[in-house]
Amino acid sequence: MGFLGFSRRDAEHIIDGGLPPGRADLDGVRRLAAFMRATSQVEPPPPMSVDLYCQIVGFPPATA
Amino acid sequence: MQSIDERARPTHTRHTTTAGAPPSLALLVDDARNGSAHAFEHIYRRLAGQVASYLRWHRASDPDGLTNEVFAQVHCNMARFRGDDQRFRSWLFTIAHHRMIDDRRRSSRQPRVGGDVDDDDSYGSGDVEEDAFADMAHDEVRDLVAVLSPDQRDVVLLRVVADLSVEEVARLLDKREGAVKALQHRALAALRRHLVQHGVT
Repeated sequence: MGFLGFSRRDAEHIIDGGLPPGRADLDGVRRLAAFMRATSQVEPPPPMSVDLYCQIVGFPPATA
Repeated sequence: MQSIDERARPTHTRHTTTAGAPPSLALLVDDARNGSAHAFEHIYRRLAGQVASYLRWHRASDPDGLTNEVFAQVHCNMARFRGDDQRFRSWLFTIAHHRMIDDRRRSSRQPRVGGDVDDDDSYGSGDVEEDAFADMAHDEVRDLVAVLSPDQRDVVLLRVVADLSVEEVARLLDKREGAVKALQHRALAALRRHLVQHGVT
């Protein structure tokens, strides 16, 4: 288990979104990791800038 | 593998699906490497939100603008990229990470003027199920991550938000895999302590 109160394997479980068996006490940090992952998955792409759009379609940069 | 006939079609048709299945990232990367602007736009739509989120968790000064810069750099080097779709994601976040470090250095040299740059409302725009944290103010949740050391924060955000493997994070940060595992272990322990102190169980 180690001096941190849970093992590296437990930490790997949590990072992967799971709860180590018999470790309900780690549910708070598991939910935080799940929240962080969820926010990244639901965040919409920011608007594409005119400069980036011009770059990918091969137009001269708008700000040139 | 695509047939020759399928390959000969204009690339935009390969990215339009009728059955609702999105084109694979591997196919998009392959076409973008061969100059398809349409494929690159698809990649942007698929991954730019995750990159912006990664930069936002790092409290970058302008996550949306920086995301555009990241993709501009990716586009510049796209033709030279070699690897599969997972390698591409790893490469993308390597660029995002380096841009974030540049941004942090730049920001540390400039005094802040006006309001807090983190006053956006980008979190909570979707259906985030972890409601205990969704109910907290966004800055409060990000403050939880701020209790970590820079190394711990890098590892946790790359593992969780960027969804990279231990091996990929080790390569990106130029660390041994054992060191990455130790950092994520200590990071979670620090977060757990902080949560307990603040009554979140």
